[in-house]
Amino acid sequence: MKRLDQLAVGEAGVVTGFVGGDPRIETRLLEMGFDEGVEVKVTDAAAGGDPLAVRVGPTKVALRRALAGRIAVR
Amino acid sequence: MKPEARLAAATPRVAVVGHPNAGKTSLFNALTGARQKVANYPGVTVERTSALLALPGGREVELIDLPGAYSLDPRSPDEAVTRDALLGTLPGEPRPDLVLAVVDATSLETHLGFLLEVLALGLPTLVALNRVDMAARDGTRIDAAALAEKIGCPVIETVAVRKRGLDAVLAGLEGLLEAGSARAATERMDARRRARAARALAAEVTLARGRGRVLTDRIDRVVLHPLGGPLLLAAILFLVFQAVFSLAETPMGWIEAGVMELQAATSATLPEGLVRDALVDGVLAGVGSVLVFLPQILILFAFILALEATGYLGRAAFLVDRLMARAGLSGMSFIPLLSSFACAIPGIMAARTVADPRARLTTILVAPLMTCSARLPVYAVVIAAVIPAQPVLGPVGLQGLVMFGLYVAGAVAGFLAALALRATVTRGASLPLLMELPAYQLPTLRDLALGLWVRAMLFLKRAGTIILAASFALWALASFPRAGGEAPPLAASYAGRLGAALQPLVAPLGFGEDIALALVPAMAAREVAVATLGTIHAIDAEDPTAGLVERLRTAWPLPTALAFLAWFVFAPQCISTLAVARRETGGWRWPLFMLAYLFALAWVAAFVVNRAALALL
Repeated sequence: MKRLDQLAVGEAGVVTGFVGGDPRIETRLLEMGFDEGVEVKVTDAAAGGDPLAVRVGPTKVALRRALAGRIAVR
Repeated sequence: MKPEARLAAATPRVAVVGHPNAGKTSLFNALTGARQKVANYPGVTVERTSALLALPGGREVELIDLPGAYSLDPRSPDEAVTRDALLGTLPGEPRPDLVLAVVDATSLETHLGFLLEVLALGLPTLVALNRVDMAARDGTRIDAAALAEKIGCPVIETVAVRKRGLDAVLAGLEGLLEAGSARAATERMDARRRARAARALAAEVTLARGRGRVLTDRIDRVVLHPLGGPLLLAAILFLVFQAVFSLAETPMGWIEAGVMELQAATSATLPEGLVRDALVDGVLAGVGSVLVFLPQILILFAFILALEATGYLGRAAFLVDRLMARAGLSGMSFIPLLSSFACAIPGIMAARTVADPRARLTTILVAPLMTCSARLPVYAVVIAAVIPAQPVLGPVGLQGLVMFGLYVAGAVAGFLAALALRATVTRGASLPLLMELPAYQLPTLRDLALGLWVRAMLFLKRAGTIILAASFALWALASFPRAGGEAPPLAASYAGRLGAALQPLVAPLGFGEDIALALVPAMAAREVAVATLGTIHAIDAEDPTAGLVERLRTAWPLPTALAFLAWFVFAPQCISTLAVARRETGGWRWPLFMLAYLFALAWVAAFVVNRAALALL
């Protein structure tokens, strides 16, 4: 299984679910648009590779790599 | 009941809600212009921005700009106010009669989730589908009529920054008000079902889907570049600080001159005595000494508002996030700490947007370590007195270098303090950075002007209350007990006696009685230390600063002067900051902790500097 933090900058994928089972974090990610079937693309990474800028559907979101690791993609 | 309050009770209330980046405040500004009133919600610290607005048919409504929120499941004090206001559970604040929900047409899928949550509350709702121009530029077309039919609410297309669709919004509000149709409240969905419903709805009403924000992505490739991004940010920050200090000089001179004229006029009109002294030396001198920072604060905020309106501030938070993470904070703390360079008060208030409670508390506790503008006069006088004006490299002189070093010392100390606090008193896991990066857009002058207006009003309100009271109290300490109807010499006053009593505490730092005494009234505001030193050293009042520099040069040994500078890097010499920290943390516990740890740091730093200088020089 691949996770969002394993995508390279410029690489796109589709969300397949959440990892870790923390409902609080899942709620936050859902509110930002991450959900099964949504297209995502890592557009930028800060120096040192953290945080990431990710396009989620039409929205652009900044998130720490640790959070990106909670999102499974294919 | 006051007539104004009775009127307000009869006026229908319209709550404006939306995501933080939906263009909510732009729409509010476009609809209301300069009629905005800023107050505080009772019991909470979030500002309540509202304005009375006439509808086309002549009826008046009160428009209330609620804080931006991603959902009604709050993650910050700001979002909690939005939820409570919509539920009608905010004390002293009746539930709104109507909701104006702002939705970003360029991020429909994400923003519709929040809209569905709001709709489920059952309040009559008008939807402003904002930024339709930007969506069209990307090639996205949305069927507003279809959306209106699906959700059972009128939907108006708007471009808030271009004032497009405003008449239709007003007419729509009027229509809802006349229909008086309460909608049935529905059960709240969980986040997953809501997100799916939002996506399904977005797919149904989207006629053409654009290629995404091509321009924004292209700009981000430069702005978020791992190397270029931080360099650009550093250049922008340098420009901002340069502007704050060079542009503010003239208006600060005006304010100082104005206050002095008011003092002169008051002295000339009122008979000699206690009332005149209290007004001139207490109220006017005290409030004036804080008011003088208004230009710097407004210039810094003009830049912050402009950067925010373009969408850049979110990128700045992204760029500094990793650095802030090392101190146990996140990029969200960047803006409050940046504001603290003008004044810790707006900085501490801006910490409300920090979602994580521990990170927010830490941000508040370290905000006073950022070098605020009140320290400048203190630094300037002491540096001019003891640091030789010799060039170091090109235009860079030793004096400027020392000043820069003091700024860096404050920032580094803030970083280390945050690190230490997060390992001890504010220890614990926190929410990592997760925020929307809005599409870039040009800011409008109207939004900048209104944003500045709101901030100026807030600052002036504080200057007229907390700061006024503190100045008055310190004046009283310095003016009593009176001897034969005359103000006592400072050394004989309560403040002077307090200073003398405190001197043994600061004697190990090389501080004499003059400094100990100056530190007492400097609790009102740091720069008061300069005025007090001037009084103590009894010099010509015509130009106290220049005279004081000469006097200090001979009166203070270098180790004492350096220790004095070190003291002011850390010391929490500002009652207003402590008062605001009390309000924002909801009690005296944290401001007292702040007072203790900062004084301890100041003492240790001044001691070390003094001893090191004695040993080395």
